Amino acid sequence: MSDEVNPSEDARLRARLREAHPADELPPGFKNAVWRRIEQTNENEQPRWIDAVAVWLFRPRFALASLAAVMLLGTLLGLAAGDASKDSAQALYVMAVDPFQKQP
Amino acid sequence: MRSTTFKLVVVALVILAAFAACYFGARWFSAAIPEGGGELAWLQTEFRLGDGEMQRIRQLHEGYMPKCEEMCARIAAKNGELNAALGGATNVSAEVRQKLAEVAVLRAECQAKMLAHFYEVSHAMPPAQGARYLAEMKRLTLGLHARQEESMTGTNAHVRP
Repeated sequence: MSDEVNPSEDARLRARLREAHPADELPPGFKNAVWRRIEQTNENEQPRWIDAVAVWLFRPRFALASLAAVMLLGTLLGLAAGDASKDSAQALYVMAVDPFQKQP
Repeated sequence: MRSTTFKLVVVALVILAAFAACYFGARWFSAAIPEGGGELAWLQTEFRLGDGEMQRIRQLHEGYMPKCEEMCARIAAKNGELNAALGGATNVSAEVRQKLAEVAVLRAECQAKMLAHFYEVSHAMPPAQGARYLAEMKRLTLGLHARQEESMTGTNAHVRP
């Protein structure tokens, strides 16, 4: 049996197939749009490390502990900054009114 | 925006907001002095003084400052004289004794003027705040000299057994 296809028979076959499964015309630029969407999907794929960090961060215990630590740190730094500014302002006043502590 | 990234950004913002709230809250609670508030900023913040009280205290302060400057100049001059008398001396001469006595008299005079100013300022404050101000100023000025003197006599370093 020969594998060669007669070109006229092939054309007829295609015509028959088109008649059996009619399809709407594709809009212009359809192929390009499909490829663009595929490329965008590839770009939007998240790196694995972000997922790993997110899973680690979103554990309730860790999240609460982190928040508490950050709040404690903020409070301590705020109190220290307040004390430092108070001390320097106090020294400024004392140096102004005490002739023995004035800068030469 | 991708969902995980969005969540991470939200978490970072929440953490930043919590830190900022605690930091500025603690600063406010500890009565931090605003930058560039001048020499009297500490008084206003520490003793929670109103505008009227501050106006009176500012007048007293401005009236006292020229006297303070004059005292400073006199102290500097007297210290210069004492140093000149001490220069090259091998024993406590009569001149050195006299200069030491003059420095002591001047020091007492300056301390008296300074104390008088502190009393005036304390009277311009509400009584409780005025008492606290006086105690604090005595500690910060006279107390400093007293501590220096106590540090000389507080130990038995010079006491023979």
